[in-house]
Amino acid sequence: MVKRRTLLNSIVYPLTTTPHPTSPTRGEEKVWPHAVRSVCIEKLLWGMIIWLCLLTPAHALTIETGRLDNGLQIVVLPNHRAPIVTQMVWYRVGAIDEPSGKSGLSHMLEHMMFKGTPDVPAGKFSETIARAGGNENAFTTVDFTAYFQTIAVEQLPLTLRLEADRMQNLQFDAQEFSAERQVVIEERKSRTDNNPDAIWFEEMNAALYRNHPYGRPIIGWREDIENYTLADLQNWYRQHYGPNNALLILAGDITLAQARPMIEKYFGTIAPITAPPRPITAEPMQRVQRIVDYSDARVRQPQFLRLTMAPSRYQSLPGQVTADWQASLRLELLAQILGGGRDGLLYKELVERRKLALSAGIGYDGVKSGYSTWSLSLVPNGKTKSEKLVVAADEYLTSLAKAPLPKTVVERAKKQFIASFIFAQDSNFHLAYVAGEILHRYDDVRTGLDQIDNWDEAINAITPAHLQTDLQMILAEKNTVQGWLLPAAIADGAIR
Amino acid sequence: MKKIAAILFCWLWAWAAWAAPAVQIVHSPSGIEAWLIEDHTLPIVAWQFSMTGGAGFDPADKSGTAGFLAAMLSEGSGSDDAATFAEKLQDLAADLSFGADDDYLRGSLRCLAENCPAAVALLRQALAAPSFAPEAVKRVRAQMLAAYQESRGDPATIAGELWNAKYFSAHVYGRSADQKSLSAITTADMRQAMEKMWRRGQLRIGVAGAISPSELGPMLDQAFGFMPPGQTPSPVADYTPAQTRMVTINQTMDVPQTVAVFGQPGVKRNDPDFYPLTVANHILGGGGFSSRLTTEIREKRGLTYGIGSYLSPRRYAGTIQGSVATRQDRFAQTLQLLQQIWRDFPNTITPAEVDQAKEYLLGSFPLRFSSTPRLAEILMSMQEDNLGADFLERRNDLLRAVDHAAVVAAAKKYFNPEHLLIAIVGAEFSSSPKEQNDAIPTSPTR
Repeated sequence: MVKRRTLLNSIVYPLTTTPHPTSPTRGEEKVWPHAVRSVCIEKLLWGMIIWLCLLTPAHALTIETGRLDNGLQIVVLPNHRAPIVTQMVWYRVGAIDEPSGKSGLSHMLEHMMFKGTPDVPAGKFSETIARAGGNENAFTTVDFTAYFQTIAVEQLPLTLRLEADRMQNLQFDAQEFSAERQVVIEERKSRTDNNPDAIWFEEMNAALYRNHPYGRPIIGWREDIENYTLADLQNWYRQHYGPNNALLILAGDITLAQARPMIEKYFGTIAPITAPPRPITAEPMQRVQRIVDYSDARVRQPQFLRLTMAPSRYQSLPGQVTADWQASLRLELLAQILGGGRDGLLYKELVERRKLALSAGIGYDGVKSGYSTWSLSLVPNGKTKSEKLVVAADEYLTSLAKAPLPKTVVERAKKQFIASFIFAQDSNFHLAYVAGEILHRYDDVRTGLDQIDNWDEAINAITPAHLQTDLQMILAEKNTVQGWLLPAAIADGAIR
Repeated sequence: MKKIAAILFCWLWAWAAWAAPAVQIVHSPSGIEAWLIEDHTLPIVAWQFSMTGGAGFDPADKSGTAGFLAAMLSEGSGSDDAATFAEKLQDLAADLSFGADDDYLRGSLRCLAENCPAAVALLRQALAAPSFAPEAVKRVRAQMLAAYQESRGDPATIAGELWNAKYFSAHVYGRSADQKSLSAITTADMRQAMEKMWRRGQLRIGVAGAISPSELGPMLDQAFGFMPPGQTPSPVADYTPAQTRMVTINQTMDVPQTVAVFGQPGVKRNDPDFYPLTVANHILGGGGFSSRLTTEIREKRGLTYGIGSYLSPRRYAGTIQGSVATRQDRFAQTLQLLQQIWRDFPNTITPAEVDQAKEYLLGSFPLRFSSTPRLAEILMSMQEDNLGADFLERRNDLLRAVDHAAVVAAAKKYFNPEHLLIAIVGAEFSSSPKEQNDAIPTSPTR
């Protein structure tokens, strides 16, 4: 079946994962991008606080938080619809922490986490979860590494015990490592080298971030993967894997009161570590135009991409708004309004009205420890690169920035954002993911709950005038890279 | 590991307490049937429905007609153009989408319960009165052609098409849309496909979420009541391949990693061998990290990032299929291992492996009910496969009844490396017997 083309699907930040092979019933779950919400109410004993969110009286979302003496943070999202639970353990280590020359080390360690402990030999972890009827996997991103299992709630002691075990007792066998390194090299080929879109994006991203570690691919450069030593992995594990550098999330048929004794039992005895401070790297202001064009014989349809450095919830460039979560939510809404697929204003203007493009979209994800990237992607309606299309997109965006966006358009998008919160609650996995993505960054997770508690208020407070200012900021930003992905034979723009 | 065994044991007892969600059969005032799982935990309603036919009704030289039609249903209907229709859905915070495969044209609707009646009105409008505005047809055709062109650079897509074309030959499952067929499809073709598929007898509807049977009934009429009764006979027949000897087909492509798609005859969903074969396949290549193919080819030797196999029980044919991507210089080794494992498999299945596979397949069943749209989708597939409304209650008993002997018998009956058809895209591969492919001359070959 030929599907309609969508907006450069492969050019979002990929979750680097170790999926199960091609079995169609065990695909990776997708994650909705938008956040969760609750309103805090009640205080409980032993330093544990329950946040109770009343979306409507009948549909309350409860977020319970706790912490062990050794620093392990706990978040429980009770949902008693079915007797199952999703467990996630998030570690505060990702590509952002990796030194030059060791790109991809966090991801390689994610693979090694399945290679056994003295009690649970290599292969046994997955086998044990499978025999208990559970699904499990892991993912590595720029900021974190996370492991998850979904299983019948009766099996929670098993998954807690297995995760606690590999948090402290991972063994590093040279032979296992050498085979797994080959697996990762093959993974890199599958994800990147076999895919011209991904090669192009990797290069463009590297050109955007020349100093910040976000310029390195999550999976790592091939040259780095080939040069890791077993000691590199052992050290990475010792430095970053410990209870006080982790967040445990349980979503499903369980409460904190029920889970806490089990969590104490398995995780309570693990000694805390001294994790290195997470690097904060400033990207120098760009003074020279950067163009990254890539031609490949496998490409048949030209594409244009422009990456622009944008504020995240935690980091922004001089001249941009101060990085905070409300600013980043505004940019998420703006990206949705302008470039959210076929509903976006750009699609309507460039694809439907002017017929210059086959697709036009904008991507932005603000939940990042470092900077965020604002991406404009265009596919011309034709077989050659079209500077006319890029000019039209720029002129259109500039014209939009001259006045506040139409109120009806903004209100419609806000309504959708609010609804997305209810839809996100429909899956334990999604809920745990959106909560974890925000909360794992804090030594005390309660610090981050504001972003969940007051989420809908922040959305409702956004006005067309705010969005106009934000769009002006993005258009004025000089830290950008742009380029074309082209068929090899028409690299010079000539028609084949 | 003793502790784990003890926990497992306790849990298996606890498992008996799990109750499958209750399935209600709802009829509209005019007699349209839907299967419903009512759940008011969240104010969400999801519909999933299909109409039999899909690409099965595509004219032979116009592959892609059903897919094109599915795309056009969101491109304007009634008095709304594409943009207005999309805005109306946005105002309701509703998701409505359509798609088609070789057997079905399917639709999916997700909405907040309070907006459900208005969203269903839009669903009806999309189905009953699509506009096929020439401008929209032109735009969608250009998008589909661009997607087709882009897919020519993807070795996995090419390998899948090669495999299908060789195995299924002239059957609809062997055809793929291409530049020529997509260019040839007209609005009249799409209207004809609608004429054939929009029949009450071809509808399979699953609904889940915050809606009662009495609310749902009238909505079914609102959505689908305009369709005439009966059904259009399918032009598609069951398919069994004539050739049963092992064949590899090879297309060279300048890529760093070679991709192979492999497969052989399997069973359809209603075959009595379905469950024994499901267990067998789980052990061989369906069980993720615990499967034999992954253990031998990925975990022990690091030859690939992913290898697996799965049962593909389709409406008119069943196959066992799989794929692997691996480095050029070790491809021959990978293939040899695959064939060896495939050959040895039926005679080496242990009772412990059968137990282990069953433990996963039984225990993980409730994990499938992971969201409201997923529930609706399960209800729709149960109807497509004629599994009966009590299937969710019976399913684990059907699986429990499968013993070691049945799994071995099914494996011996079906798994046979002499029947493996392997399509390879990437490095030139030489081993015999083999055929050089010449079926798709437009594909990138260097």
